[in-house]
Amino acid sequence: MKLINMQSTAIYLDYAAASPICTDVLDSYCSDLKEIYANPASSHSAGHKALTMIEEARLILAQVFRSNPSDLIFTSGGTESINLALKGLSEAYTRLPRKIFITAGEHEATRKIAASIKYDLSEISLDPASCTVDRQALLDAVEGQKPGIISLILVSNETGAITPIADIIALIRKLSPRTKIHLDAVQAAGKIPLNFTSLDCDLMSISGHKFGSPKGIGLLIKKPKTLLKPIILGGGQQSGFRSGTENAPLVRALAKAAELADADIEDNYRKCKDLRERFISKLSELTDEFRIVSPANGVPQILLLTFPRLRGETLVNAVSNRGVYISHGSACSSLSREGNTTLRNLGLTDQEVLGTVRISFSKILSSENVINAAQIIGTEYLRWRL
Amino acid sequence: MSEASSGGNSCFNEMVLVRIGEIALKGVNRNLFFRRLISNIRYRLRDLGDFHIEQKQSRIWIRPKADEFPAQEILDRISKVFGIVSASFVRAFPADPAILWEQINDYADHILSKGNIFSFKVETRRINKDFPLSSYEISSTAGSLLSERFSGLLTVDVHNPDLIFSIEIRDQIYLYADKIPAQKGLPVGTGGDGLVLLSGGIDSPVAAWMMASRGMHLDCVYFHTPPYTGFPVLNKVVRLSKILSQYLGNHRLYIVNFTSAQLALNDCVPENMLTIIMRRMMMRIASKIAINNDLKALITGESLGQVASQTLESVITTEHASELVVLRPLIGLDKDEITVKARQIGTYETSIQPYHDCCTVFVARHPKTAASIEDAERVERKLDLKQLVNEALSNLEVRTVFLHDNFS
Repeated sequence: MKLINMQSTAIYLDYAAASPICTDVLDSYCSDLKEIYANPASSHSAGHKALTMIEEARLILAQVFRSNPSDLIFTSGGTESINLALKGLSEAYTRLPRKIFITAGEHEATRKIAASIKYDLSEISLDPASCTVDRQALLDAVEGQKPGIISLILVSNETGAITPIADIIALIRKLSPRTKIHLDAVQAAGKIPLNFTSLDCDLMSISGHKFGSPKGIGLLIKKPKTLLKPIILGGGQQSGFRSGTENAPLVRALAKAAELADADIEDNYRKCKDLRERFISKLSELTDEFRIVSPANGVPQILLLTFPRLRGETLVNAVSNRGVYISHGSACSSLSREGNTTLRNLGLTDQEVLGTVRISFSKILSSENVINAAQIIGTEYLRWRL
Repeated sequence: MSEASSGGNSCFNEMVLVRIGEIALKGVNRNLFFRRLISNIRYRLRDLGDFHIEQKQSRIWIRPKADEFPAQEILDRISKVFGIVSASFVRAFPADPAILWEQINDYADHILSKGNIFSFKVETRRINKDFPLSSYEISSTAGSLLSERFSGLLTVDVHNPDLIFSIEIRDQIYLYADKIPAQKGLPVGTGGDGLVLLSGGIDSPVAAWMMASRGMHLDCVYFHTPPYTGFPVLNKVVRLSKILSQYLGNHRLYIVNFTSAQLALNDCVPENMLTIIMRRMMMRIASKIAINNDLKALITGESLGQVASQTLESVITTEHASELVVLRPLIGLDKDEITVKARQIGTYETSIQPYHDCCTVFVARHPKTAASIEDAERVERKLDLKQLVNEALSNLEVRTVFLHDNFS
């Protein structure tokens, strides 16, 4: 899979925030934009062509994520998918117990929408050892309270930790068969294989720009019989689940990117694991003052470090001036004021939370890239630490 | 540009009436203030078309030369020019009773179409005593005309009307109904030149606004500490400076690279004295910038007792490092009052964006609340002050913030 790099001199290490668009995807997307402009709902043959393009993309996506083609809802991205999932469930099922569980490691979108629906919200704590949800605490709470909805993050956007989901879902189903389960797979897509059917969740959210699609498109995958009350009303497109004219070229770009990323998962995983090791070993040569927060068995693409004597924000600024782009926690939470709830929940002190930086890898990087980046990060840390 | 009015109708002209407060009371310098105010107004409206602006008695009249002009935008901008008490959009037509009745009907149609008006009153001032009808006759005739025309929809209420129709009989008749309050104060450029220390917080933009409202022309200085403070903070200060340009007009923004000084302080200064020594350092650098650019005063957003570095003792110790007088327009205001003002002038939403500035990165847990000048000087002996100031000045970036640039 060929990808476009930003600047030849810069080293981009923020793939978990946004990935570059695959060149193959971009090429066909650009020509589709020129040619496929008709409304897929129009009855003329130009409209029919756009509709066909969407139907073909559905088949590809259903194949990649092992779901039913007609149960894919195209959205504007991860945030909208998560909003539709939780708000849509809460309003569609009037007789579900009015309780929702989320973990302490959820994305801001999940936290905000879960707090806004008319359900009692409980937050299940994380297990600091695995960086994923405290399994026993979750199962005890499910057994005791039988919530209406549970939302779980599959791959943590902060640490890269993978929740052992298949096993947890099976146990939830046994303890509380009526509970609806939503899976936030935004950071998982393109990094680990996703089989919606065998995961046995009710809904799964995905965002395109995390795996080489243009921004502005995502998916909500549902089980055939799962009900949702739409949050965007209008012309009744997408079986009424999400009104608004579908963007055929963008849908096709999403499908193509998903297909390419899926074929590359193993290769990507292996290469990123190697890059991550090289990065850590180079950085360790320069300083031993950092601590790795990410668990060893998480996805190799995401590496969360904490430095004791410098704010993560300062380190991000300092290395940015030298052409290395990393982030201070996840891009979505670094702007919010309350600080990072996921990390506090993992038992990090305030000082350690302030000192975190997230480095995220992609297979398009060379070993030289990551070694240079580690060199710059280490040097800048030593230069500016207080 | 919300609405375009037509001034090309043969019966009447549309113009803006600008009312002046304090300036009218000035003595021999009165014309100086007027000239400056007119030039500020002219500059503020520069990109909205050609205007004929003149001073008559204690008022300023703005007449658009074109047939089409954005009335609402003109009033919005005028209301941000210091030295103006209020402004109205006015219809002017020949001093003839027949035309007056015709115009008042037409004008009422126009105003009432905007809705939400149920009661009214008519006020008349007859300056031109040659006009055949008295003020009382004009008001009562106009009142009954309108009540008849809008019978059932509109009633006269002389005590608490929704709308006041004002009629002024001068060389022509002037008719208006709205009166937009403005900022008052004195025209920028009549009160000397100053340098405001802008931090990115809530207070300093309000301090700048207050001094500008007294006619002071201001430039701004910001102390940037990269990489400890990043691009978002700098960008926030630039945006604040841009918002302030609506009141200040074109001005300079000096960006000082404060990192070396900050790190030197961090190494040599006891933690509880860090903030006060840092502020003294900023005073020294700001004084030099001001003196080099012929600015006569420093302005800060300090408010007595708000934080440890703003106790009376700290204020005295900070001021001691400045070569110029330091003006603190917020010194007697509390945070709520400052916040209300920040909301009014439109800087609040930008100020509260959560980015770290150097004051929050290099902050002591328990700063000293009563650091004397002697304490500060004792600590500063360890520092090469002159060298640190010179280094900061040699790294100075100067930007000009233009009122007429588009917002980015």
